[in-house]
Amino acid sequence: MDSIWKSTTRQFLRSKSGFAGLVMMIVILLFTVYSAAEVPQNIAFKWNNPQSWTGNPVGAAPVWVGVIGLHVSPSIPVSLKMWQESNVSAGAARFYEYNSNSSFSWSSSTTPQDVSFLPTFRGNAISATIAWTKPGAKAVDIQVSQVQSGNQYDANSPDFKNAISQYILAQTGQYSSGLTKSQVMSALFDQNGKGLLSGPVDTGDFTVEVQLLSTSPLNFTSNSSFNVIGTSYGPMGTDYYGRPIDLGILAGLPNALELGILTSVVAVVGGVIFGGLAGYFGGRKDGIMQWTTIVFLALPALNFLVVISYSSSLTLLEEGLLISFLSWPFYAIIARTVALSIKSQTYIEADRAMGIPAYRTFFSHFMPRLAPVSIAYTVLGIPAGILLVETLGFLGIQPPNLITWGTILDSAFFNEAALYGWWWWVLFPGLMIVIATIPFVLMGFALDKIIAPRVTNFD
Amino acid sequence: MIDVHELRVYFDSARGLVKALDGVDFHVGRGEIVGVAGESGCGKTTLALAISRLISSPGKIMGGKIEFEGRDIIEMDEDEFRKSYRWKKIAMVFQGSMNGFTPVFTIGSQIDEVLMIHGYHGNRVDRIAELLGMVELEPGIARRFPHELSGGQKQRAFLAMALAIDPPFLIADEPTTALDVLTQSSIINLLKTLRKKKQISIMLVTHDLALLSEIVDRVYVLYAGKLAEVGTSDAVFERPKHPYTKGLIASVPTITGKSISGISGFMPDLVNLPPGCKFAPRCPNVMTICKNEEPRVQRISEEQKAACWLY
Repeated sequence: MDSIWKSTTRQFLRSKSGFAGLVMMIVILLFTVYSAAEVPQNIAFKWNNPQSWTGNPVGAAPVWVGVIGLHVSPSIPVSLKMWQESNVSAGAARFYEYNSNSSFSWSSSTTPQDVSFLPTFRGNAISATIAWTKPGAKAVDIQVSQVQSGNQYDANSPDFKNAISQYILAQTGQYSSGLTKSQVMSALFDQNGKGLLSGPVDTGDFTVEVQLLSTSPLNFTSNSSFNVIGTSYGPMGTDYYGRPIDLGILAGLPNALELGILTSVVAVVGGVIFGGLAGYFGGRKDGIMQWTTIVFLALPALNFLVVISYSSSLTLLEEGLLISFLSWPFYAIIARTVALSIKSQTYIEADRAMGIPAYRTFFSHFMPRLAPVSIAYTVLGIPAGILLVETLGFLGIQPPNLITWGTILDSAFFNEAALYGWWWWVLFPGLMIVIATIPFVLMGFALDKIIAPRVTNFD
Repeated sequence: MIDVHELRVYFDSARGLVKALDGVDFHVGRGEIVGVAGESGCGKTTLALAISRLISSPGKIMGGKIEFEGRDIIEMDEDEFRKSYRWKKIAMVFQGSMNGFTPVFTIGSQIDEVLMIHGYHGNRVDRIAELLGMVELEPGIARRFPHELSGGQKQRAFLAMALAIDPPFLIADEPTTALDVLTQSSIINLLKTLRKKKQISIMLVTHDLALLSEIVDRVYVLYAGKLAEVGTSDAVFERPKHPYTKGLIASVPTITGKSISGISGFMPDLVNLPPGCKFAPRCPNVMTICKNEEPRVQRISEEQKAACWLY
């Protein structure tokens, strides 16, 4: 027994596809461990709530697309900390003033898509003033009245628009109303010459000074921020809601593997035991069991899944079991055929003559012969399971609050990613489905060759 | 030891009842080696399987008794039979015993399994070595897998497994069929030694008459599920009475190259047996009575009986 496993392992590692598959699987497992450790547990709730992602750029390309010749601007988080307190008295009233300044360097030739000011403090503030200084020393003062902690103020907010139209008035003497977000952004970032809203982008160090004014003391527990929201973000970009694709990919990885492995293992083990028993019993029992298998095989799996997933909210475990429940008959039929051929062997008859109990014959003489086939089918069943689960996710048939690559693709389809040219929203989840299945396919082929050598290699 | 009375084993087939054994008497005494001879399909293997209760559907024991040490094993509960008779009292070496080992376990572990299931109390490792020694195999064979052994070695290893629990009765169904003559004779010598040392009774089923004449005390000749002739080895082989036995002996090739005279015709269809003597259509000495009435087994001499109208 021992040496058979040893020699199988050796053969497996010696085969190119088996070894490559194993290495890829280890890499994928490391990412899964990383995902389990790093991605927060409640990510799915956050993922499905668009409010959670408002600080992120929308439809941003991956940061590395500059390599392939696309012009994008980076996203730079500017943290506001070390608030300096000073007291101001004006007559009988007493004011508290808090100052913080920060700077960032801008080298991209593209204007970012947005800026966002997100103050965080405890207490009541009257107003905030953002002093924005460009590398060319031009400055804009943006007054935010009735500033509230946790609120986000971006280029679209009236405070920004008012400040920018005053800036334009001061620079050109012309009053402009109804500024768009991109006009606000170019006023903030361009080297404004005569045509104020069409100059090249100013590069160098920008400074941001923020002053909060209050009648009572404020408390700063966490950092406020002033984020420059560019047109690129993270290794895989973001989607329509500003969700980083890489986070979705990472969160979907354990789900894909878990479902793929669960469906494959349960279906193969269940199918092989059922089919193996049918072949082992033979006769009338075999007839009944085979009939049952065929009835289950004939169940329309997709309709079944649609009805069940709409009529009850499944968990991941239940979905996996449901899929295996619908796919075990394939393995049962294969196992029955193998079992029938084992049954006709002399050693099974010998077992009976020896008085070896039936259950023992089954588990010690049938199952070991079925085991290699089962292992190969399990490994090959995992990619099939992953593909099925992602397909179902794309069709919207899956447990609620579960991130799968299929649902990412579904939302890309729903939000017309192709129309916006947001190829990263489609490419990465699609690629991941392929990448996650390849190691299992490679290993399955290697095992299949060892277990059922059909093709002779002449080299 | 074994007494079979009027045993009938029929197989249900789409064409009708196949009468594989139709009222056969059979007896083996303690320490006796008894041969069962006949051509393929005459019922010899069915008899061996019936005694070890291995007749499976669509076959069925339709009548008769198989008494083992005075108890009818047909009536016995399957569980009781399995626990206290199978391999403990009735062991069997099969026609294809060299394939009787599961390919995925070592020889030793399979013998060990038998010892364990039948509750062997001694040291099992020692016992396995002892058994392998008994059949003239190295103890190291225990660690080998079946595919690593030759046909003869496997056959002997299986014999060792058959002897694991010291059964008083051993059925050897064509134990040497697929083996070369040297291995054959070594296995036959082994059986002889076993009988001498352990006083076990052996039922040797084979179509190889030369082999039978070498070793058995008594021989049963079966034809179409019926007993044709029975007698001591000397009587049957020296002075065969039944025309079928005569034909069978004449069909054995000799090394000196005398021409072989076979038996013309074929064995009758077991579904549609002729009304009289089953051998009548092929018999050289056929008479009118043979075609109409079935002969009964008659005592011809002290050591010989035959079912033939000639006597």
